[in-house]
Amino acid sequence: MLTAAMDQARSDPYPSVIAAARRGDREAFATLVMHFDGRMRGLAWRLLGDRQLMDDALQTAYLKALRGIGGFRGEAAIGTWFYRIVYNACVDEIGRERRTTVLPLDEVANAIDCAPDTADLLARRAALAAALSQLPPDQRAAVVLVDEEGYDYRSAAEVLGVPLGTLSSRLAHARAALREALGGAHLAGEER
Amino acid sequence: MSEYRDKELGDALRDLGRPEHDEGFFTKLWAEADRESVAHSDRTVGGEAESRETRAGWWTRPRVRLAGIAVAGAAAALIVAVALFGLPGTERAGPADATAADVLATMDHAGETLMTVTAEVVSTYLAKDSDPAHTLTLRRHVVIDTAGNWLRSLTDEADPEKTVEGTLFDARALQWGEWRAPGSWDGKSTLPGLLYTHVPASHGIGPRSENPDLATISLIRALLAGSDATATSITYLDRDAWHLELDVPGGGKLRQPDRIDLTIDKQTGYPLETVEWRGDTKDSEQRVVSFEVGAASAQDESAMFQSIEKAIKNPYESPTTPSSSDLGCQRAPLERFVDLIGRPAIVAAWMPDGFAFADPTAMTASWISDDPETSVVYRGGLWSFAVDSYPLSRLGTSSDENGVIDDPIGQQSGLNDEVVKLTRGLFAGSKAHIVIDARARYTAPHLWLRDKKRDLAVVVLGDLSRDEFIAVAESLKEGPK
Repeated sequence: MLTAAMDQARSDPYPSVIAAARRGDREAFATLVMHFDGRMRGLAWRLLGDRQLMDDALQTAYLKALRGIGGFRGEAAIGTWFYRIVYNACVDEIGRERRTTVLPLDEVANAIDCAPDTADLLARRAALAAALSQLPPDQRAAVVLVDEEGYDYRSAAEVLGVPLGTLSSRLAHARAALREALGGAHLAGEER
Repeated sequence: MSEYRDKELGDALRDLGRPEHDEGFFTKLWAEADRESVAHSDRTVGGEAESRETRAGWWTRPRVRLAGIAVAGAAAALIVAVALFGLPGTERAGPADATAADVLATMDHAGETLMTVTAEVVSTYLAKDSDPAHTLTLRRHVVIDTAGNWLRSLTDEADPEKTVEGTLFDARALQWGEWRAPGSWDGKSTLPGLLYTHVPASHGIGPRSENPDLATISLIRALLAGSDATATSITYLDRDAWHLELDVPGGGKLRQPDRIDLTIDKQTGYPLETVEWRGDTKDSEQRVVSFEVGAASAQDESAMFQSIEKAIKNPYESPTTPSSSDLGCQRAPLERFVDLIGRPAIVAAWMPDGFAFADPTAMTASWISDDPETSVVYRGGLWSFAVDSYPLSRLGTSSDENGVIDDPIGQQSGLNDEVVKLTRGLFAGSKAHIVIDARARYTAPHLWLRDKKRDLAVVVLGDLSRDEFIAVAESLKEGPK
């Protein structure tokens, strides 16, 4: 409970901003979008691997959020709510494009400021990106939400719309695949 | 089910980075949102319940620069300005007779004998960019005192007898709450800082972003300090006031105004009229329609309620909902900080004239016991600033090393931020980000920095100018150990 509350506290701007957005305050809604945009880009990029598709999905998602914010009742954290809309928009985008997404390695390299990088580090990044691109979107999203973004299992399951057990299973599969790509062993304490 | 996070994998994933949007992403998004907004024109806009009002021609006028024209021209312009925009109780008088620095000095010394300010404010602004014929009007009542308490309530212009929303901040009791209707509280709690967001909501300033009047004051003070504008003495609601026009550095981008016309009460420094412009388009207007200044006295919560009650002529029961349990906020002498949270507070060794260390027992220990926040508050009249610090781990997993997205105040990215390198003091060599932006409706001017060596994020927040933010930051030191 504490973890969930802590996560919500870390994610949510002031409740009055949310309340104002719910009443149709565009500035407040823009504040929410700008607050969460970095994390939403992260999820969309991992799922779509294409900057244009990422932008298309986020345009769709943010407009959908704008239309739906009035009905947000606070049952979940606002961040979880945003994530769910973005995730669904990305899944729709994948369905439309029917393409296997492969993170473009040149963009991976460009996305980070890697002046002093070693060849090993670049290779490791490339291997991870390639392994990530081979995962089903739901597994990708699970590992992004939990391991990259630090979400608790319950919130991640809410975003993906799956039971906790399903989330755990997807996480295990995703971690194993990505670990293999990184050439590392399972860490102590990891669920099997 | 035990939860596990693969930290190494998470780090590796974050290391992959994420691209920025293509240029024009947000322009396209807001344009599309505007189009959708037109289709939902009955929706209320503005962050507070309002009634709709159409005032053809309200939103544009030729740019008038009082300070930059000859006396004859100024007189003519004043006549035009008064004819077009003159307000009941407003009397323009004389040519420019003070600088922005003079106005600022007046404001800074305003609190020496004060005070409680009670104001009724009417705000009007464009409903949406695409349909400037529609404007929105709201009315609110504000009480602010120099002890750090404030209260604001909002009245629906279409139904003035009905208070629809309000916020109270009681600095001494560390309480914060909102009500939605008379006697009906939506929530009230010990101000926990972290409970609602990771914004370091200093109890001494309160959740300042919740109070647009205070946020406006902060912005105005910061803009005055960097302005070469000149001011004219006028009378507004029978009060002596300054009138001047301030350019907004970096303004005009997105939804940010590029100019603010300002009328400031000489005694209190309170903004009596604030008009924001984007080019020749009036973006918003806030006018004080009644104004009362009280003697210096600490106001308790009930007194503030009575003041509001009197102002809005709408009796209601004081909230009876008990405050929530202590979530970890407490005040203690600075000397006890190390015992309580394992590290000293970060305190300012320099502050502008008129400011003083106001809360010598100020501290906010986070409700997360191992992640404490320290907050030290300084006041000067109605003005205040705070120095907050907390562990870097609070910042979470943001990927942008230098961007505003990592701003610990965390409410809105994409704001103007100036990066400076501190050259003196505890954080010499650190990069500090100064955010003074008129779009920052839900925050206030602030400076933030991160010190990886000490695992600290530090925020200086409040009524300071750019140069003062830097001076305070370079004076920061550890409090007593």
